[in-house]
Amino acid sequence: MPPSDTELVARVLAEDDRRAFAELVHRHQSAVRGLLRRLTAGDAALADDLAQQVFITAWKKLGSWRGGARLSTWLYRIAWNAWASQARRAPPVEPPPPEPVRGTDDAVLDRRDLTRALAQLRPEERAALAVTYGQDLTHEEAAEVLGCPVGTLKTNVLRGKERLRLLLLPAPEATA
Amino acid sequence: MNHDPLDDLLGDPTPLPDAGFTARVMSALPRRRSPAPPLEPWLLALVPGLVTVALGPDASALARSLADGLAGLVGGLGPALAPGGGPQPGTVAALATAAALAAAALGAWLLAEPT
Repeated sequence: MPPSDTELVARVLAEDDRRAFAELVHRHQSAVRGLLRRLTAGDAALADDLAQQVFITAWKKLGSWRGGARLSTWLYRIAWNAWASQARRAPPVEPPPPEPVRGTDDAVLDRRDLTRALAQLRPEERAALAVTYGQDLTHEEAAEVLGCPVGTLKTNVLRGKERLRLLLLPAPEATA
Repeated sequence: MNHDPLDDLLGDPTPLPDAGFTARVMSALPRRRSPAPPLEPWLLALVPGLVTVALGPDASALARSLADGLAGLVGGLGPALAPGGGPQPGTVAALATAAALAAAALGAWLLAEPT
């Protein structure tokens, strides 16, 4: 049975065990990079640079992780802060008026469509969707990651989904 | 209950292969903080010097004992402060230096007091 995150963290702190930390990075890299790709609207290079910063910050501050919260939630919080800091340095441009990102004749949604549609959302809507879906977080945990009230998170999720629907899904009359 | 295809799409992120990412992170990690170094030799020499100057040559044995005690005390201070989010080595060294100088000065002053 593989060691838990808590056991690996304890090894890093007690024995300065770099292999234990490498296991933690390997275990969480996909989720952290995936979250950052959504936050950066599909900019894979920027997302990976930020993800690297996230794990270096985690290495430096691992002693401050409280075992009560999941390590993944703590990492997402660092990722969110890294992205927010990046966005302050280079503010994202206001998205243009929504344009459908796919034709109505294609019945299958794919992830490239989603990435392009996410890029057209407001940053707060994109962030709410990014942390709420696919990261195995409750609404409370997602709100904690973003540092906002749960009600605000839910509002942004609903608004974001409505805009995505307009961008991605065929209008009802087109399917008739 | 209506099924929302958006929920499927949003909730199913493609797992990203590591593709060297972990190695890249590990190569960029800074070194762990090391415990504070033992007292600098010049400081060890300074402590008995201060006491000896204050009390005269007769107190040299006492001065050496004081210096040894300080070295042990400050040597134990580093590991206690350094791990997991403690101050940087430079901070620990500065603290150790300040503590040693203060203790040496206090010791010299106490011993120099006329009885």
